[in-house]
Amino acid sequence: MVFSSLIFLCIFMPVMFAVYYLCPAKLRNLFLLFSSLLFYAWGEPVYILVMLFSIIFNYTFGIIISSLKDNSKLTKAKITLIISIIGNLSMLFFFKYTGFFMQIFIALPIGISFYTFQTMSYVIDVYIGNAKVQKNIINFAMYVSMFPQLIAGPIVRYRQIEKEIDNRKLSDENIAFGLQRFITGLGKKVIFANQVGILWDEVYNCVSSGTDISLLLAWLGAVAYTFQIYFDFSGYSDMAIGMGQMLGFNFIENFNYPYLSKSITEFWRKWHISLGTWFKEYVYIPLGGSKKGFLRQLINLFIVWALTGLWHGAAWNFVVWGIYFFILLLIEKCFLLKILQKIPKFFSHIYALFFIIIGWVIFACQDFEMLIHYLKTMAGAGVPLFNNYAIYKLYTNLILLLLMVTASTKFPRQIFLKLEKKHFLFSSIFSFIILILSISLLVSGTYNPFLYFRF
Amino acid sequence: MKRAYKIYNILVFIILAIPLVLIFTLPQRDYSANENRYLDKFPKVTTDEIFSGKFQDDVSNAFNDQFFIREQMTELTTSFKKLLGFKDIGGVYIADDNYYIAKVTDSDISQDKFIQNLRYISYFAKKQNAHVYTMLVPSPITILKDKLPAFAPFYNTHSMYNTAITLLGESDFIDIREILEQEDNVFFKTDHHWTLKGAYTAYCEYYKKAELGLTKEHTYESFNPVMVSNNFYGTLYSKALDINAKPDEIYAIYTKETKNARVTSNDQKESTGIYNEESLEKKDKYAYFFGGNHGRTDIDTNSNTKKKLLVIKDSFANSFVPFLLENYSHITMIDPRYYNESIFETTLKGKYDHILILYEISNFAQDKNLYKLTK
Repeated sequence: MVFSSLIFLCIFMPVMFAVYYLCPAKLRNLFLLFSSLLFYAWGEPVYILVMLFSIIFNYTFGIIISSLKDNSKLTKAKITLIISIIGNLSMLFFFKYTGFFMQIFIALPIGISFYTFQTMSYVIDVYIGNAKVQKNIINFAMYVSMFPQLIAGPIVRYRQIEKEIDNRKLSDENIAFGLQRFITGLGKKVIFANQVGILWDEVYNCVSSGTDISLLLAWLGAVAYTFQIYFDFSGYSDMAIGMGQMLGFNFIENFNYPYLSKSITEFWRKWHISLGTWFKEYVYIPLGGSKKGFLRQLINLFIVWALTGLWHGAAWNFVVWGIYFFILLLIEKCFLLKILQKIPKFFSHIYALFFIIIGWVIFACQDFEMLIHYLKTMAGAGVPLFNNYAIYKLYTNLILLLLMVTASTKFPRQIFLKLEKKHFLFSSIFSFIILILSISLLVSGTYNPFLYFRF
Repeated sequence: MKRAYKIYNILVFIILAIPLVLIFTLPQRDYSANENRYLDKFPKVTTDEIFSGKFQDDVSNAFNDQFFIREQMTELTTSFKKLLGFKDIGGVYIADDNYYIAKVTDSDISQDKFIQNLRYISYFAKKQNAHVYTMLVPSPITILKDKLPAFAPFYNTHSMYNTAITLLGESDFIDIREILEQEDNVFFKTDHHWTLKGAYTAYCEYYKKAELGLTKEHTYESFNPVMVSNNFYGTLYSKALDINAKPDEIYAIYTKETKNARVTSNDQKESTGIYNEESLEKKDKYAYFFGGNHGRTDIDTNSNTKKKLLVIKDSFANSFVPFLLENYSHITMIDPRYYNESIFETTLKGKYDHILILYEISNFAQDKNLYKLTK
C-alpha cells in the first residue's frame, strides 16, 4: 500500500488512527504492530515472511550480543555481531542483487533496503552500547515494521526512538501538526511530483525515440526529473514524519532544502539525511573515516559512495552515479570548496544545480546507451537549440515549474511563520485545499475513458 | 487554541472517512457513460487471490471506480490543470472558441500501417468491376489548426495525403481538405466527428467526382436540416471532462427520401428508419444516425435511379450517407470492424455501380481490419 493511494487515505488511515487513539496506551504498540503487518501484507502477502524472519533474526542476535557483553565475552560478541551483519546483508543481497550479478529474476520485497538498514543499526548500536537491548519482541517488531517509514524511509535508527517506544505522548497539537505535515507531503507527491513526472516521461520518450528533440527539450526533461525526484521523495518523507508525529514519535528530518545548496558537499548534507548519516555512522567511521591518513580516507569515501550508489538500485548506472558524486566530492575537498566559498553565491549555486541535474540524469537513465544519448542531447549534439514542441512544453508547464521552484526554497515556510498567531488558521485552510486537490487528482488518475476514439 | 487543534483533527478525519462510509451506503454503480466502460466492483474474498495479491488489486480498483463524486473531482482536476496553464488534458487540446481537439502527433501514426491499408484498397479496386472511390476525411486537428494552442504539436497530414493520391490515383481519390477548410463549423466542438455541415460539404465533392448528375437543386438548406439535439457532449468532452464545455447541436436532414428509406442491419432483424430516436436520450447522441455502427447495413430507397452503392466506412459515413438517398436505389454500408464475412465476395455478389471507401484519415491509418478487403 502506498500513502498516495485512495485506499490508504480513505480506508487504512482513518480506521487505523481512530482505533489507535481509542486504544489504551498499553496496547498501542501491539495494535501498531498489527496494523503495520496488515499494511505490509496488503502489498506483499508472501514476502511478509521475509520481514518476519528479519525481525526474529535481529531480535535474537540483539539478545545474544547483549548477554555476551554482560558476561564480558567481547570477542564472542564481536563474532556474533559480524555473523548478524553477514546474515542481514546476505538477505538484502539475495533479494536485491542476485538478478544484477546473475541473470535470474527475483522480485524485490518492498522496503527491504530500508528495514535491513534499520535492523542493522539496532544490532550494531546494541554492540557498541549506544542502545539498550529490546527484550519485548512486540516492541521490537513494531519498531522494524512501523508503517510510516517502512517503505521509503526515513531510515530511523533504533536509538533515536528507543525512549518513545515505551513512553510517548499524544496531544491534539502534535496530531494536528502531524496531519498538516502529512498533507503537505501528500501534496508534494500528488500535485507536484506526479504532474511533473508526466512531463519527464514525455521528454524521455521523445529522446529515446528521437522525435521532436532539441537541447531545450532535453534540459526541460532533466529539470522536470530533478523536481520529480525531490518532491516524490521528500513528500514521502514528510508523510512519514507527519504520521510518526501523529503516533507520538519524533523522526529525524530527511531533507533540508537540498536544492538551495551551493556545493555538492552541502547538497549531500541536505539530501536523504538519514541515509547519509547511516553510511557515515556505520561504514565511514568504523572504517577509520579521515583519521587514518589521506589515502585511507580516499578509499573509505570511495567505498561509501560506491555502496550509496548500489543501495539505490541494482544497476550499473547507480554505481556510476555514486562514483560520480565521489569524484565531485573529492574535487571539492581538495580545492574547489574553498573557491566556491569565495565566488558570488549565485555562481556557486548554479554550479551545484548543474551537477545535481546531471546527476539525476545519470540516475534516471538505467540504459547506458540512453544515458549517453540523453547527455549528448543536453549538450546540443546534432539537435536544434529549441523547437516548437519544447516551447509548447515549456510554456504549458511554466506555472507548475515556478511553483516548484518556490516550494524548493524556504520562502513558503517563512510566510507561514510570519503569520504568527493566525498561523494555524491559515495553515489549516491551506491544508484542506491541498488535501481535497490531492484526493481529486488521485481520483481523476483513475478516471480512464475507454473511448475508442476512432469509432 | 487546544480546541482549534481538536476541531481541525476531527474535520480532517471526517473528510478522509466520508468516501469509506459512502461506499458502504451507496449502491455500487455498473457503468460509466462518460468513460464508456463497466466499472470495477468489490470482489469476493478467496485465499488464493489474497496470496497472489489479485484480491488487493481488485479492491483498490473497485474503491477507485466506486469513489463518490468521481466525475466532479475529475472536473475539479481539469479546472486546476487549466489554471496551471496546461493546454492538453486527457489527450485533448483545449482549443480556441470552446473547441476540444484530439491530440494526434506523429508518434501516434504508423506510416507503414497507413501505406499497407492504402495497398489493400488499391488491390481491392483493381479486382472490382465497380468504380472505387476513396475519401479520407482530414482530422479536426488539421482543419482547425488555427484554433490549437500556440506551438502545439500535431501530426503531418499533408504528406499522408500525397502518399494516398500517388498510390490510389488522382481520379479515384476525393480530396476534401480545401473545401472543409473554407467552411466553418464542420466539426463538433466536443466530439471527434464532423457535423452535418461537414458531411454535406464532403457530399458535394463526392457528388462532383462520381458524376451523379443534378436531379434537383441540392443546397444545404434544400435537404431541410433540423436540429434534433442541442445537448450533445461528445467523446472529447468525456476525455477532458471540462466543466466549461458548451454542448453541441446535432442536425439531421429530413427529406422525402429520409422518411421513406427502409433500413436493415445484420444485428437488427427489424427494418428501421435511418434515424434512431432513442440515442438522443443517451450519452452517445451521434448514434442518432443509423443507431451507431453495424457490421452491415442495407438501405432501400425510393430513388428513380437503378444505381447501387457500397460504402466501406467508419462512423464518419453515418451522417454522410443520408445525403445520397436520392442518388441510389440501394446503399450497403459495411464497417469492417464488425463485419466478419468476406468483403471481397460480398462486393462482387452485390453488383454495385459505385464503391466508396470513407474513413477519417488518422482512424484509417490505425485501422487493423482493412485486410478484410482482400479476403
